[in-house]
Amino acid sequence: MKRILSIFTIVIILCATYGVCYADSENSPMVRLRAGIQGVIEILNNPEYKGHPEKNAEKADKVRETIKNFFNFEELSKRAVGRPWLKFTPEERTHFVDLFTQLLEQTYLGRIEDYSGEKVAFDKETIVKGKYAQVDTRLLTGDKDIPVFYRLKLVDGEWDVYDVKIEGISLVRNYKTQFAGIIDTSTDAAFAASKKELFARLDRKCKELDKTNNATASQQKQ
Amino acid sequence: MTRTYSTSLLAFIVLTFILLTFPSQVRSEETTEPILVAQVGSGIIGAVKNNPEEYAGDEFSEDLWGDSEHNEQAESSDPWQGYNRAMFDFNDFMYFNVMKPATKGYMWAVPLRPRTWANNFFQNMLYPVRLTGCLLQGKFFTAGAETSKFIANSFFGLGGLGNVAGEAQSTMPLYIGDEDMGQTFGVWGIPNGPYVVLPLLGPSTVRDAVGFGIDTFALNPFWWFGIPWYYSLSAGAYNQINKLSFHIGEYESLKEGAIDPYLGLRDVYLNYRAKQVRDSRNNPDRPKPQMTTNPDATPQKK
Repeated sequence: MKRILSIFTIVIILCATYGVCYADSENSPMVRLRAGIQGVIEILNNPEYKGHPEKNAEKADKVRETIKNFFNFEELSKRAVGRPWLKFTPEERTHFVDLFTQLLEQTYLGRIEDYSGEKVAFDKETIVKGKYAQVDTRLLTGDKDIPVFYRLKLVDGEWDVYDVKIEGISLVRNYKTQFAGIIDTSTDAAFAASKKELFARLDRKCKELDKTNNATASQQKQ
Repeated sequence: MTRTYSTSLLAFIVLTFILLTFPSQVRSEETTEPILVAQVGSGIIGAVKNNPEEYAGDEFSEDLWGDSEHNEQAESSDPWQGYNRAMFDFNDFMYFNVMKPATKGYMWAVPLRPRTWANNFFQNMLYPVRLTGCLLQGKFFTAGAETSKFIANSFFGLGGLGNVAGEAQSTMPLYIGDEDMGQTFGVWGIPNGPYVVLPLLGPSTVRDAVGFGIDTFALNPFWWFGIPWYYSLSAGAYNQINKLSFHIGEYESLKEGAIDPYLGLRDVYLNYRAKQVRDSRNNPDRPKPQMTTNPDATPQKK
């Protein structure tokens, strides 16, 4: 009986460790990022959309959904605003995340049309403090490799991208510089006014981008 | 007279030989490099782990990745922002109304291949700028690589029109640094100084502007041999237009997503330069990728 029990325990331990190992490799930032990027590439290469400009909107929607799955736009917004974020009300935060996500989508979604079968190589992952990770990747364009660093944060057991760094330029830091030029925290009144200005400018930019994107879309249709 | 001539020729040959042997020496030691990188890497991570107080509980801390040195390099005050913003607007106007139409016309008239030849030619001619940068920064490996590339392209690439040495990663694991005086000053520890937008040339800092002056008037062969300044200047302008023809659309996309393009461009310039300066301390050998994406993947039916 004792023997059976001990074999039983060993089997259970083995199962448990196997489960842990499996979950670990499954939950690696690099694996997660690769799955995300691969998902986008698959949509772009899908023969259903390739060479069908009339289905561009549908394709863009799909890409947007896929990117939302492995990007953490809230963390991205929070870091781009920096410390003043703590003084934003919850409504302002959601509003800001909405606008900023829209701005990023409208700026970068049009750019993925340029994708022409480049590979992405995943070189290294570094995990710091258990919940931050950096994955070093390279976009292989044939004659030149472009290093791209993704920074991820573990939130609710999922690694999500919150910053992208290319050629020493970080997306979050770049916007942080711009937002810092608008947000003024010297007095409460100045802060309220500058917040208003910030939202107005974001709103204006989104509308502007929307207009140009629609213009190019209708141009493509003709 | 002949004697001094032959000594300088001998000196040149000796220097060339020394520079050419550098790559092979470095390459033979290549096997130790990855281990070194791993040690340095774990050292950095270890250092971060040993100092948890530095960012304890601070969600906005940026120093998680050992970026602080990079950020210090990208530091620049902006005391002349009024002038800079005005000059930024002027350059923006000039770009969209003069440079871009001119470049577009040039691109229409001249096909891609001759434009590549012209680019190679200028790149080859500006070898003294890069060599000086490499030597002053103590990057002898890169100096040797630059020299061998210069010789190969000058003699076998029709005076620099072709690029027989190819791109860095296709021939040998070498890193061709795009070195200049501004970067050299940076490596020496000279800070950026105030940020300044130059007419037509765009973003710069006091340090980089001084470096650019030295690069242009002392190290650029187009300004040697008593060539009249207007020829030198037109050659430089032509090089800029030719270069721009490969980069059209980049400024536009940068501007497109920015809510304050002036600050956006300033950040891009400073961080890009900081990265270039710090390149000298990075390892030229790239790690082997652990995985890649599969671009030919067919979507799975669900």
